[in-house]
Order: sequence, then C-alpha cells, then structure tokens
Amino acid sequence: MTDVADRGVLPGADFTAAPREELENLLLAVLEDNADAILLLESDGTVLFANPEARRVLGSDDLAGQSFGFPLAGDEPAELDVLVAGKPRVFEMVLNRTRFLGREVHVATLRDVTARKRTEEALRGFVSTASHEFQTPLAAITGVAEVLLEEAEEGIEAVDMIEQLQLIARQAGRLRRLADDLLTLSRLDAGRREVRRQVVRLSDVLGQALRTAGVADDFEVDVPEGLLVLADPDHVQMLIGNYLSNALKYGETPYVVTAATDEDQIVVKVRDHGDGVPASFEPRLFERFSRYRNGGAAPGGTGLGLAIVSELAQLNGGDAWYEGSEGEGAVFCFSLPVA
Amino acid sequence: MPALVLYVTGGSVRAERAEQQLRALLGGLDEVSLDVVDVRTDPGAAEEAAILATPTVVRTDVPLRVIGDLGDGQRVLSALGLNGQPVARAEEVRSA
Repeated sequence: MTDVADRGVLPGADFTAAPREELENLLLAVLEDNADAILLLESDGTVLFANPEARRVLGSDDLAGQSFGFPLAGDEPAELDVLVAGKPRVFEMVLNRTRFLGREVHVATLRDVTARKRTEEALRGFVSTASHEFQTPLAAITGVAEVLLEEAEEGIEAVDMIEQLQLIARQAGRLRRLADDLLTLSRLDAGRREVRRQVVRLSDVLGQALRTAGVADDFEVDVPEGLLVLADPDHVQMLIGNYLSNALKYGETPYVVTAATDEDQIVVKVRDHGDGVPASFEPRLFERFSRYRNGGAAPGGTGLGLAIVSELAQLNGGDAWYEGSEGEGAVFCFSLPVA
Repeated sequence: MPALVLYVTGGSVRAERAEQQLRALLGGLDEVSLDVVDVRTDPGAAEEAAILATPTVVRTDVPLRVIGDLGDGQRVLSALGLNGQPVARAEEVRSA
C-alpha cells in the first residue's frame, strides 16, 4: 500500500489489472492533453510523433517525418529558443531514451519557461541595479556627512549647514523608499495578504496624499466626494501615492486625476502630459524591476512601484492598467470595488 | 569539405553561448566551415532549412543535424559525423 502510494498511484487502483485498451486510452489522453510539447524522435532526430502542444509550439500540423535534429542535453535540461507564432519563447528540453518498434528512440519534452527566464534575467539585472541604487545615496550621505563634520570642527555655524542637511535627508528618503518597496513586495510574496476592507472615501485619500506631498496646486482633480470604494485604506493610499509620484517623476504638467463609477468598480485615472510610455515598453510596464531608461539614467524610481500597484489593486478586487499613447501623455488607471 | 550552419535566435543568451561553444569546438578541426544564421533576421533561410527550434546545427554536405546543448563537444562532433568516423556510416545508418 505504502509502495503504491509512494509511486503516486491512487489507493485501490491496480494499474496492472486494468484492461489494455483502458491503459492505452489513459496514456494517449495524458500525451494528447499534456501542457508540455512532447516529441518522439528517431535516433537521427526525425520526428515520429508530436503531441498537439508540440504541433502548436513548432507551428506545423505535419511534423512527422521532419527533422527536429539529434537532440542534445546534459545533466540539466537543454534550453531552446522557439519562435511561437513569430514571438520568441524559451523552452527547456528534457530527453529520455526508450525503445519503440525494436529501435532506440528519443522522447523530447519541451516546457515553456519563458516567464521564469524573464524573471531570472530581470532579477539578475535588479540585484545589480539595486546595489547601485543603495550605493548612490549612501555615497552622497557619507560624503556630505564628512564635510559637515569637518565644518563643525572648524566652528562653522549650523545655520550654514542647512543645504547639506537637506541633501542628506533627501538621499536618506530615497533609501527608505527603496527599502519600503522591497519590503512591501516581499510581504506580498510571503502570502501576507491580509486585506482590511473598509469603506474609503477616495477624495479624502487623494486630498491627503496631495497635501502630504505638497503638490496639491500641481494637480487638477475631478473626483466627486460621494465616490466610496471598499478596500484596504492603506492600500488605497499606496495606489494613489504611487501614481502621483509616478506622474511627478516621469510626466509633465498639467497633471489630472479623475474618478468615475463603471458598473461595480470605481476607476481612477491619473493623466499627465509628458511623452507617455513608448509602445514597446507598455507590455512590461507593470512587471517587477522593469524601468524605462530613456538613454540616460532613470530618475530615482525603484522599478517596483507599478508592480506594487498592480498586485495591490488585484488583491482588493480591482485591477491596474495603462491607457496612454506614446507622445500624447501617460494615463495610469486602477479600479476598486464600489462600496 | 564538411560545412556547418548554426541557426540561432539572435539576441538570446543561448545564441551567444551556442556560437562560442561551436567556434571553440571547431577551432581544433581543419577544413570545417561554419556559417551562423539568425532565424529572426533571415526567416527565409530558416524556413528553407525547416528549422523548428534553435540552436540547431545543420551539416549541409550530409543530412545530419543536432539541436540543444552544444556543451559536450565530443557528442556534438559524434552526432555531426566529425569525430573521425567516415561520414558514409552515418548515412548508412539513416537509410538502413
């Protein structure tokens, strides 16, 4: 019993006693419905059989008889590039050798790992970016602190040090934001996703966010006072705060915030009149660690803000998306359930 | 003279790795030519050669091709009939 259970077989199901036809049907269904692309190859790499997913991925209904190539993989799966409907995807290929009709054949299983590879590559990039992000403000803080110390020793009065102290505060703020974003994401990842849903008046949160940032005069606001959402107030604050700082960082005046009811959701839009987001970058806008660099260095962002927005909006039963068009300003939107 | 064509999807780390590995491998062999084709910039050539995925190495003088990890040089050479064995043998195996 334990032995059978260990092999992942349902208790009570004796596979050896199953009629051959039943077994064949089962195995065929496993092969046909498999989410992986599975190829049976002759010893020289000619395709003997391809399951539907393999035919889809490799873009041919008539693979049998075509040369896939003699497949090579080491201890680790081999990585392949495949243009699926013209778009590059990454697959891992695992090989098994077996005998079929008296000859040796290869079974090649191809699994789409594009999303994982993209995350790994982005993560590698981010580790290096994050190190720089931490280094830059730390270097500024250290440098200015040393100057201040020297000046203090020379008896220069504190009143002359205000500019330098402000610089320290600004750089420390950058570090805090980076640490905050990383912490928020790690909490979301760790499954600490408690949502304290409450009735929240959007205009209140927006007004407070604008006042706190000291930018109330820069934004044109059309958010009716009666609009109430059912969401975690901290999350609403973060959603709005992220979009506002995004507009200030990357956009141009005039900045406009609007909100309106759309069926059972309230949609908030933050519009600016800058260059907008290049169409090529749009698909990656809400991905973690993605940050558009227009030639030079990106302005002070962590590359995490929009990923946080997207995850928080969905966590509260809404969504986040982008509606702007290149050259005509950016429009960032999120929706939350009506209270 | 044996002639090889390496088909890659340009810009990927796999393309770069495959080309490096193959060039290093062929560095020790005389008289093996190598062309590299990017299936994204030259889709016609990839279609003509019926390339299904990359990296794929095609031997153009005899019908042999390999696909996948080119890290094990001896296996690559053996599968392409370049390990000193007469090429005719590989063809015989195919037609057998």
